[in-house]
Amino acid sequence: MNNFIISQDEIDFFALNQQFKNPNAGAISSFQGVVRKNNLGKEVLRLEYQSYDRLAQKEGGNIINEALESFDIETAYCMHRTGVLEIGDIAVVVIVLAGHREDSFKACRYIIDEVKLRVPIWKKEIYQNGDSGWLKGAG
Amino acid sequence: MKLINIKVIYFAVLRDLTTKKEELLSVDPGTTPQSLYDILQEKYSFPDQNTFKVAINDNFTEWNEPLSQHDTVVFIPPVTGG
Repeated sequence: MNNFIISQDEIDFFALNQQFKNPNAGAISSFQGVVRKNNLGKEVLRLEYQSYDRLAQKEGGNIINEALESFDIETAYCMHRTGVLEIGDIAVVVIVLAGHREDSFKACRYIIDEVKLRVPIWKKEIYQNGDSGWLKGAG
Repeated sequence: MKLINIKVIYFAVLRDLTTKKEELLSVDPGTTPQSLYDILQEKYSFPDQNTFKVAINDNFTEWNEPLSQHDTVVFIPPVTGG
């Protein structure tokens, strides 16, 4: 099973969450990144995400594997949206199943942090005033 | 010297500046991602690439790696997913 997915379709978090059942998992941690209506003092109308799909899937898969090796967890999963997203839409989801909460929290945090640093996905903000621009990133 | 044929795929700010998703180019043998970027920067007014990464054939690579026939090159601005 490929546990890092790029999706052009709307993310249904609850449907996704239902897919993950494991009798060894006493803890399920999840993270949702959601489109917010303001950034850097500007009113955001919507976002557009572009992905370099082949490398994004490869690098995302590497991050999932690193989490599985580094933490005591059962399953790790991440899905990232591309295309045009409206305020409130889910841009990214991370779900981690583990025996105990400590490592499920840590792995969930690791995955979202690394995805934001390393996976070739870009975000363009379209503002209320008609301007738009690709965010600069951490560099 | 025979030119080599490569493909460049553009994303984000580079796609906006070129108004192209990709293009096929013929370049001199010995061309590297760095020298290719310099040419394209001149042509399309690309930003400085200090903070960019580069991939050849879907693998991150070095800026001084010589390009080969039919390589696909992608310049990667700082990522902003999540």
